[in-house]
Amino acid sequence: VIDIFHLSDNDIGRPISDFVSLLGYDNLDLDVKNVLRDLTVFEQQVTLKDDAMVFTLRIRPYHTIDNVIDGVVLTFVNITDRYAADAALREAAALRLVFDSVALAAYCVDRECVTTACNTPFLELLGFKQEKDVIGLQLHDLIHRSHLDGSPYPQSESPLHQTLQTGNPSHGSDKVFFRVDGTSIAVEYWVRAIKLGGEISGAVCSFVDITERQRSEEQQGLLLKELDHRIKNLFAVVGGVVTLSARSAASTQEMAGTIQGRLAALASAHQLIRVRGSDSSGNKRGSTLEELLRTILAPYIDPMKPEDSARVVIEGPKAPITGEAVTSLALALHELATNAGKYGAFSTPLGRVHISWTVENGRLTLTWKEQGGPAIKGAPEREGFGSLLARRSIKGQLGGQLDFKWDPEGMVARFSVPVERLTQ
Amino acid sequence: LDRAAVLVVEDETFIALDLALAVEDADGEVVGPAASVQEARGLLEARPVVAAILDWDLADGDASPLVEMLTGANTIIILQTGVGVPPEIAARFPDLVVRAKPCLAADLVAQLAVMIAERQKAA
Repeated sequence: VIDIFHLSDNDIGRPISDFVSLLGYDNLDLDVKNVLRDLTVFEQQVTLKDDAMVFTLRIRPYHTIDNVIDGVVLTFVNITDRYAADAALREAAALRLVFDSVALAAYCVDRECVTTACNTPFLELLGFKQEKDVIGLQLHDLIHRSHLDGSPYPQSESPLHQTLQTGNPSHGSDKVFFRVDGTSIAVEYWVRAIKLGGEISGAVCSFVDITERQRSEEQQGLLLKELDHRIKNLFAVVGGVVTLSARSAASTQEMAGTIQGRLAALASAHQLIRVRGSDSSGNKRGSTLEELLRTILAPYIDPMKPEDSARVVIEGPKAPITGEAVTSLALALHELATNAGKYGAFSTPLGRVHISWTVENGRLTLTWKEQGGPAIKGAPEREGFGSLLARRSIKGQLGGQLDFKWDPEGMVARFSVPVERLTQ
Repeated sequence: LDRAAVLVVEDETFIALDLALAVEDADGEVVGPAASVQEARGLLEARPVVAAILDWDLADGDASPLVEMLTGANTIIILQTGVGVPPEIAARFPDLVVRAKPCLAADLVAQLAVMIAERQKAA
């Protein structure tokens, strides 16, 4: 106390507030008054201004022999060492909390590759119940017992072992870890040596499960390949469209119109299917027959003309179509619509097309019936190119059959395809 | 092509018809076009062919059964593909002529005519 308050025997009788103390504590005067008023014991942790020492300060009322309160007694208990130990413990606990809260799984080993610590993500990822189950074990034979292809994987080849030998860090994503239940996970890992006083005392390995990442990379690769295939195919198809359209066109204008129409049909089909499997939930993207019909026939129905709404009647049960089937149907229906526009029901203001279908015994049968167009004298002498294309489209990828009937009041086209081919 | 029978197997309607008409233009006799392995098999049972233009990726799988069947019958083949042929097929049929899509139908048919003429000269 002499040191803290610079007191000497001569100072007896002077008020404590007269002295400048080394304490980083300004409320002594007030706290003493409170103790004298309430007659309670006051306790406070105080440090010296230079933080060199920590004390527990206790202020209690001083009772004389006659039980009269005659002042207070201040006691200082030096707790500097205990305080430092507590702080270290608190720091360790905080670090442990961080260790368990990070997303990376991690474990530490000593020089002999014996596990000294692991965090909660490590336990969860590999399926261990508690840290106790792995402390003191060489985990290599348990979680690294072999490569993914089953070939042996000696501990001496493991990055952890090598880091312990060389002190060099290691990082990679070419390894698998085995879980307690025997299943494996692909991991990206980081290994670093722990050095104490320049000596390698152990190592820490942290890792993340990259199974999902690898799966999505694989998926992306497949998708890119599929896209590449489709683009090449599309160029080939466009080449075919151009040469075929040139064969039957009487003028360049007609040829341009025919090509535009066919490319537009391909584009609508693409719009309706997009790239197969591109749905985030893995469902095949698809469409329905009615949706496709409305898209293909849209150029023939002017929404501004009320009388046009009666031009096309579409009726049939819901029929899902996906993938290549959409393209084949789009082409066939486009050719039927184009023919109707040139020679049939769509070539006169009052012509109508009635489209209906049924699904029975695993087959979809669609009837395209034209009415109100120019009178039909009979089957054309030579099959038009559009009809040939439509027939090929139905037969080719859909394995169906398209037939035409030339009724005097209008052409009737009918095709029947196996339902399972519509969703391939 | 001198009325030679040429099998056309292709499941894309436009390409199939383009090829078929190109074969006709070159005075060949078109067998097909077939869109699937199954359909092509049916056509081959009905009549033999001198040559074939095959697409690799067909409605009911790849064209390998047809390649095998036609190679066995000593038929001249040009294979068209947008995806490339798996290495094991290329290894099994080292003489297989493979063309990457897209290619001009008339070019394919001209190449086929040259191959047929070479075959006849050799015989």
